[in-house]
Amino acid sequence: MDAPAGEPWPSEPGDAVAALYDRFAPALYRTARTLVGDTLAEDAVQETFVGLVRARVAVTDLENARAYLFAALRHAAAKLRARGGRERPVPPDDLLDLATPTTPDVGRAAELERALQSLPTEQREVIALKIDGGLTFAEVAACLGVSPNTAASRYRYAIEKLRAALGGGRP
Amino acid sequence: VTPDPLPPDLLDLERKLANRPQPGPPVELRARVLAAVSRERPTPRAAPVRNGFARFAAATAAAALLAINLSASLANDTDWHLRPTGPDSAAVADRIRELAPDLSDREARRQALLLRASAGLTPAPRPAANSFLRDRESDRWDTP
Repeated sequence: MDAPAGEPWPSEPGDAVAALYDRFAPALYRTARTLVGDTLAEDAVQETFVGLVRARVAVTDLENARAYLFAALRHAAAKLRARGGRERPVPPDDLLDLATPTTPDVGRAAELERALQSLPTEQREVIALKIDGGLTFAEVAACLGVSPNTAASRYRYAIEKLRAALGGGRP
Repeated sequence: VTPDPLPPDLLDLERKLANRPQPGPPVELRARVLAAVSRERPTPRAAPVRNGFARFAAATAAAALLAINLSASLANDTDWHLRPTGPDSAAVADRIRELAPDLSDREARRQALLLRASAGLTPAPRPAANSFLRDRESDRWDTP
């Protein structure tokens, strides 16, 4: 969670988006990367904030903003996919720049990323929102428009499928 | 929601996912997003200024039309029939009594007033005889 609950909304509208960006952009960008890949992640994040202004959403506090932003990000990602932007898995080479891990770590991270990108969109969404976005199951459910139980079971199934893709067993 | 706990191997995978190296948003993305947002956000004073200009233009056009209209009226010495013209109602009543002696005085005055009123029902402006827009020759013959 990037924002404390109930924190007041910035009074100046010009500062509001900047404040939102500073708080939520890292989590949104991580989520967007998992949803649409490296190239389109920036577009998805931009569309999310532009949509916030375009819709003139009355956001009373940062908690409401967080819920709105992640739901908007999901819609923006879906729109980018529908527009024909091909999802591009995160290139394993990009992971070399992230830190200075040992070679086996890089290999494992790249393998994990590839497995994640191979998941169906529905399952990748739930993992992105839960792990990269840091949302609770209730928040994930609200974003996806499903019940919290459905979100939780979908998440578990996605993790199991990811394990299988990594060669760790069923299904 | 408290879902069933994940088995250890899935918990381990979940932890690996959460800890996998991921880059943060590029530094330039912040400026790009804020620029896009500012382009999208309507300028607060844009609408009132545009509205104010439109109203000013409309008022100016209306004033110009009114000034042209009044100037033309003055130049033509237009008669707006604002004051009653012709013989007064008493003379008309006398004339009516001469023509119809059996009418009472009251009825004759009433008919005289009606005639005067009906005579003023057409307030169409009539250019005066010295109008530069009207042929003076025809003005001489247009009265029955």
